[in-house]
Amino acid sequence: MKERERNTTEEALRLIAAGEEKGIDLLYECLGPAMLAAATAVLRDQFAAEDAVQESFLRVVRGIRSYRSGTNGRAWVLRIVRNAAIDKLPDGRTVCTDDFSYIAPAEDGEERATDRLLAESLLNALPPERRQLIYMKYFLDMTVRAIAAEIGKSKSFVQKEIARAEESMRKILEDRGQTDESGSY
Amino acid sequence: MKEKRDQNLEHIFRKCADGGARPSERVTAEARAALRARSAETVPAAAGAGGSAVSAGSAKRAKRRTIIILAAAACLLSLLVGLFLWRLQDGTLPGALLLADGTTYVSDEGLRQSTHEDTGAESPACLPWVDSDEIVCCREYTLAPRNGTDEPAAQAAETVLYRVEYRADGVSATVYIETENVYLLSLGDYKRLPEERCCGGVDFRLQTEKTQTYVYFETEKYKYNLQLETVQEEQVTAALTAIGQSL
Repeated sequence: MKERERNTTEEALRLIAAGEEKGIDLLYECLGPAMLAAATAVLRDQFAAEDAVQESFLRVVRGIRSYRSGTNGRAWVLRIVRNAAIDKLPDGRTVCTDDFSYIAPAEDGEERATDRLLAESLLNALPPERRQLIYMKYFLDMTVRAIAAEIGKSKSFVQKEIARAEESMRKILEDRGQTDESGSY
Repeated sequence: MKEKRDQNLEHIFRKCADGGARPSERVTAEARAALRARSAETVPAAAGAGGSAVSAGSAKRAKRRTIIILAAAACLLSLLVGLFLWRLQDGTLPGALLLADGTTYVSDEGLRQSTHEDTGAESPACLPWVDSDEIVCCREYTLAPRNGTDEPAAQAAETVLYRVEYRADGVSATVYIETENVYLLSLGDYKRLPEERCCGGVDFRLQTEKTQTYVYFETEKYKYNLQLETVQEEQVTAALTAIGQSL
């Protein structure tokens, strides 16, 4: 699924670079919810987040030449979204702390709500600093290097903190009986 | 190196992030418009060697930049030439300026007197209306050597200006004769004399001031800058008639 999404994102960006509107449709279909989630986590307001996503689509079109084909398209786009959202932060809120709990849930289905509850419970079990690192790694697809640069810490520090956070989340999943082997939770 | 990710955790979080609410489709409207505008600007034929498209906007900007640079260069060149001519005329910068079309602008300091003959000197061929016995003084000038060298300028050996004082029919006169393609900057006012008169097939420009009448006329090879020491109409007309008949 991840590989398919990666290919779709790559194709969308390729089409946009070629000037084809279909690329925007594809990007919207593929990353629309993730883009809104990333913006909402920063702005904590659904309407302001949509404005940020709108601005992000525009920035993607304008900055498509700076995207190196074959790298991580999802991370590149979500980075743009997060920056656009930070630019829209009200005056006085200069420090950004993404808060996953503000992400709007999908309106369809009980399964989606369950997904969200599980993710929330895992994140809420972490100290705020580690929660932020996990959010950056798994939601925004940021690399350890990018996260370290973002928070101003060393790569080894970030790696250790993430490893500890992952370990504690795995423990929670094991306790609940939702392991990797089962393939479901 | 590819970073290690916990597949199970990634699956959980990714499903959650991608399964959230979808933004309104209007969020893509501005991007679509920008993409359309960019596509409209792109000139397919102008693709670069590496396959990168060169937009019409870039081409226009480059063209505009070239025009601006050329215009600025032309203005600068005009300014420099103007300044140079002004300094030549002003006497600040002695010398001569040879332009591409062969025209030489020369200041008084750019000339060197080559001959000086007084009364009875032979009348130069370019002065057919004056007999030798009417000549009071005749001087010829060549271009002075270039600054700091003894090397003569291109036309140094040739006479580029004659200055002849003569007295004919009771009227004293001084004439400066410039040879073809040579302009003495200090004689520029003669070329702008206001009154025009045709006499004997020669077009004259003239102006009367106090006790003198200034006259300018030219032939194929020479430009004549004449100063008559009279303002009497009959004497001026007689002088012009004599000139017209002799040329």
